[in-house]
Amino acid sequence: MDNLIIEGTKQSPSVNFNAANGKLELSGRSIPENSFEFYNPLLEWLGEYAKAPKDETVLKVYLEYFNTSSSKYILEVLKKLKEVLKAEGVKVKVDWCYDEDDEEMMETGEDYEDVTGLEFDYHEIEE
Amino acid sequence: MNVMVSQKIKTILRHQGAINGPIISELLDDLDFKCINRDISDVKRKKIFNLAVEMYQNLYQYTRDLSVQGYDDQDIRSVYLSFDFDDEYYYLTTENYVSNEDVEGLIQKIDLVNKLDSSELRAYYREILSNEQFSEKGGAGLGFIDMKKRSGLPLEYQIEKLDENISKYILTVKVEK
Repeated sequence: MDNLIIEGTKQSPSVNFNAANGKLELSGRSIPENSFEFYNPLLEWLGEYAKAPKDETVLKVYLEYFNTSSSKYILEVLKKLKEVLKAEGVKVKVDWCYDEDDEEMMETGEDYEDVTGLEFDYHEIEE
Repeated sequence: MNVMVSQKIKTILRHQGAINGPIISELLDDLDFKCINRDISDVKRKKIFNLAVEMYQNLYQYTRDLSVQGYDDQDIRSVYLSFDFDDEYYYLTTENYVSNEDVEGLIQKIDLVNKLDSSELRAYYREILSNEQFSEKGGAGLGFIDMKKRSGLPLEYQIEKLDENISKYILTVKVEK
């Protein structure tokens, strides 16, 4: 299947979902007014990917800002990622990255970990 | 407005009139630029930026469809917003018209998040995040929870009934300096 690559803007994050190696990345700002429009292609891609995933899938999330309308869709992305686990013997992990001292972003990761039950690793990025 | 009583309050950013996507984008750029220029720490700047995104987008989401019989749409969709500070706090303020039908629901939502302490607020956030509902206006229903979480201080509001149809609604979110 094709990779999903979307360039970031001031409103929306950059996306680099690589189907060939199972490395998925979402980074930048996520403050679009219409989150559905932006996130729906990601959800569709993940739905396809979940049918024949790599042995190990890692989603790296490194967001600077996000609005509450995005937060629901980020949860949907994580739920789709959880579907990947239905395939036998596969591993899925979220690398949750946040800027140094950005406790709010770290806590948001913990909230998602709690709500989804996915495995999260936290990385504080020094500026 | 209560918070404006202080003599030492200074305004960093102000906007009055229409609001839409491109205007919000410009205001946010300006806000970010002014925070950097004032040497506001990265952590505070991000907090302020995130709060402004939420407040301005909510404002637009509500006012863009606002229509009350007997009023000119353009007039009642006009807003005022500002970013101010004094010795202790930064203040993000928005002012807009609301239909009286929406006032009770608005007050209930704000009063509820104001009552919750930080751990209750977090539990409530997780609950609303994981329910499948999106609000009628397309919002996630997380707006006020997010604002209170980020600010850490009660959300201050004022509702001034103008007549039997509309009220003026002022919301101020504070960030400790």
